[in-house]
Amino acid sequence: MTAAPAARPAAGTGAGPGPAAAAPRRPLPGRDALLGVAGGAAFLLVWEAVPRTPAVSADHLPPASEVLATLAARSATGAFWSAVGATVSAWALGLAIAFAAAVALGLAIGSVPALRAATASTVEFLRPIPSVALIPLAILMYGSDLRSTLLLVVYASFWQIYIQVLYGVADLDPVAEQTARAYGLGRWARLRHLVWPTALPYLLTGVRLGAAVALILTITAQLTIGTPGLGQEISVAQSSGAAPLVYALIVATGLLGVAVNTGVRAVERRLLRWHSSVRGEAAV
Amino acid sequence: MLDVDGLRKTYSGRGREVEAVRDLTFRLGEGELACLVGPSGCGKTTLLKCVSGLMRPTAGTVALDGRPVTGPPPDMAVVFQEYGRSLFPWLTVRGNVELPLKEKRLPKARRRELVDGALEAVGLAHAGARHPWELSGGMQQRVAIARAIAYEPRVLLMDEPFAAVDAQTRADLEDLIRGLWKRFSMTVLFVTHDIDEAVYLGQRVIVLSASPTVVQDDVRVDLPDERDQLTTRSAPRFAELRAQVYREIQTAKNGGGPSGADGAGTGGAEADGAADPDDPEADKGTGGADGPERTPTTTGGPR
Amino acid sequence: MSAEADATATARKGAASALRVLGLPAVLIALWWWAAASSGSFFLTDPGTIAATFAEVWISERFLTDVLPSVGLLLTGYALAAVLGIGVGVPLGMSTRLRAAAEPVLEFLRAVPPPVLVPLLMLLVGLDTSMRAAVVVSGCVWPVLLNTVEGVRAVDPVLADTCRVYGIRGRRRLGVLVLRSASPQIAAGLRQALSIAIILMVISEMFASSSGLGYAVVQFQRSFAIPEMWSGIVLLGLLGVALSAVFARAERHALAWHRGLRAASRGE
Repeated sequence: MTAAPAARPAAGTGAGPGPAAAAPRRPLPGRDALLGVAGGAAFLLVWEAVPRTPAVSADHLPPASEVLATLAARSATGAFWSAVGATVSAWALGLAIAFAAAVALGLAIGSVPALRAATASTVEFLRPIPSVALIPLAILMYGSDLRSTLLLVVYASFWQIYIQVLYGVADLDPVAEQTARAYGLGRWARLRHLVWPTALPYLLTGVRLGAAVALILTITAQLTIGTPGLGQEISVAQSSGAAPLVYALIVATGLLGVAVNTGVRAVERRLLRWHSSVRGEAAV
Repeated sequence: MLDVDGLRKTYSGRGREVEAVRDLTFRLGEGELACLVGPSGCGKTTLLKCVSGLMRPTAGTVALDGRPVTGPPPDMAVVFQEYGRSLFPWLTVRGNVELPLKEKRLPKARRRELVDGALEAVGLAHAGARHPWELSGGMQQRVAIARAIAYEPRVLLMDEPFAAVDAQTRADLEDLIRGLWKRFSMTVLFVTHDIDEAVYLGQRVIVLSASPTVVQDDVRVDLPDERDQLTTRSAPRFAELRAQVYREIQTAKNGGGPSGADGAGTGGAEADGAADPDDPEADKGTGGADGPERTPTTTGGPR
Repeated sequence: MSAEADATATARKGAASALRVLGLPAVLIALWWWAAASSGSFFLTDPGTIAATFAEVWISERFLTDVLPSVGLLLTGYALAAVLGIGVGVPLGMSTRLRAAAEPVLEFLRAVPPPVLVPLLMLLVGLDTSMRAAVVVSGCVWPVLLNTVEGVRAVDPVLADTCRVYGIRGRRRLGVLVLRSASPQIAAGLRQALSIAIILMVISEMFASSSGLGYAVVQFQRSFAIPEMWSGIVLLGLLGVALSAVFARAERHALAWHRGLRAASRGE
């Protein structure tokens, strides 16, 4: 059972409210942050210590300090930043194209039931096709050009956003729809004031998922096809056996990923301040 | 048999301290059916959680048969207000009723007997194979009641169990509870915000004040033991008792708390809200998942 | 209304739904065919040739040497990741302190795009099969882990209280309360992990292997065996579709209560 609480056996029957005997302990506001810092530090410590044991060779797993030092040195070079720039711009461009296409098609197809029904089977088939299957095709068609990366990125992130837009449009409250019709709102006004706000939370969920997938595919394309960017740098470092550099670049991609996730979530929160799912999330 | 002594509960969250229950002392005899009634937000739910051992009081004690309650006692069952959330949606009605009996390690034949008996008693013998969400609200609450009686508790706590069902169903369920109470001779503590319900059901009505809560009055209900919705509710004595409790509550609301709690009935949900900053270390030992964040997370919405 | 008219009505309905399901795919395949025939492009192979090549290339011993091992590897890695993710996610979800301590590290690890693990694990483990399985595991574990944490965290407090009142604890509590109520969220994580598993299987083979489906497809592309390459792409696509169909079926079965519950709460 639970550790015996401070319920003293009837001391001073009905003695009224004593001074808070079992003082309710509230976590300090910064407790979580402190624990988080401690967790991060522990992670780094383990990473630092393990390569110094005989179990793992430092050639395979360089200690954290060495990796971070390599990252710091690398980030002083222009080549590093141009690789970051290439990765970010390929990611952003791919995501933007997927976004535009998915929103346009999603709103158009989603709001016409017949179109939706006619395309459902095709979507169900195309969606689970792994975009990496397109790698050989991309290489043949575009070589190690930016367009190769874009093909993969757009294909993968398009479905994430498109499906969410469809869900969003389908979630339209029929009563609201009827109300809007009763008040004589036209098609465009309904789209603007009804469909769009309903679909927006879904759309942003799609963007959040799509952004993560787009980053994965950007790096994948750079790794396998050799389009310029962080992925390609990693692949080069790996084939030259520079373990610390591989780790440093991976840390860099991780930081990029964190930046992408935080950025997208911030945008989502800002655009959806009125929405309960965000408010609930923010309160936790 | 059930002794609540000097019970006090304060919540402290975000720098300020809220005193939900100030000083409560009352006693329930073996086999008694008592109703706790009080203005909304007076900490009824907090009180019930302390009595059931789900929450530790800040001060004071709860004892069952002289033993202090430090966690949910094995011979106590609770029926919650939120029937939809207290039944396991992935289990059938039978599975829900049987689950605690499995944990008690009763033999299979005995479990079957108890489950059948309990479902029969609440009039759901036919619904055993269905899932809770296939049933109406009133029926779901019957399942929760069946689960409680199959457990063969000596004490049954009910936290505004009928607050969320419609009036007709509610009357049926009230009669059901009185019937079960007599049949299984349990001690029942029934929390409600409905004065009529309290007077109709109870042998006693314990009236609570507004927050911070104390016992305002303890009214003996001297109505005949055989009650029914029609004659009992139209009896002059019923009206007198009802008026007495009503006056007590009005006084409680006006004179009771310095906070001047607005009694305008919004149901008893406030106490749950206040229960949010729960102290975390209580659950640590048994590996409980119910840590500090009691915020119900809705799974709906686009995630 | 006569039975005959009834029959024609159902027949018409059947035809309409067949048209709805097959209409667009048929149009698209026809378009592809036409484009391949009229453009004369080197890269574009018509569907007929692809189908014929597909049968020739994959319905052969290659199926045993390249396809089955790849799929086996994928499923092994995926299953390990699922066990690991749920196994670590449950305690993290149940303890606030553990979670607070692990959160920043998890945030970082999940943000690392899984494909970079391929070169990393090549360094660490080398080129063999266990490396490829390790890649799949280390990429798939995060979505499962994080979703498990979220799901376990969100256990309904009323249900948790119910368990405490009725003395349900230990393994039964884990099975009947924690894992079951987290299961919709865990399923969402498993679904994300599945598509990551396919990506990782394919690129670990493309990048660092001398056998397997991904390797074969890349070999075809490098040797400009275009119809063969297309057949490989089609096979990868079919694999993705098949795995996701199996998953959807399993999910529908396991989460029947969840759909029922949601339908019921929406109906009210």
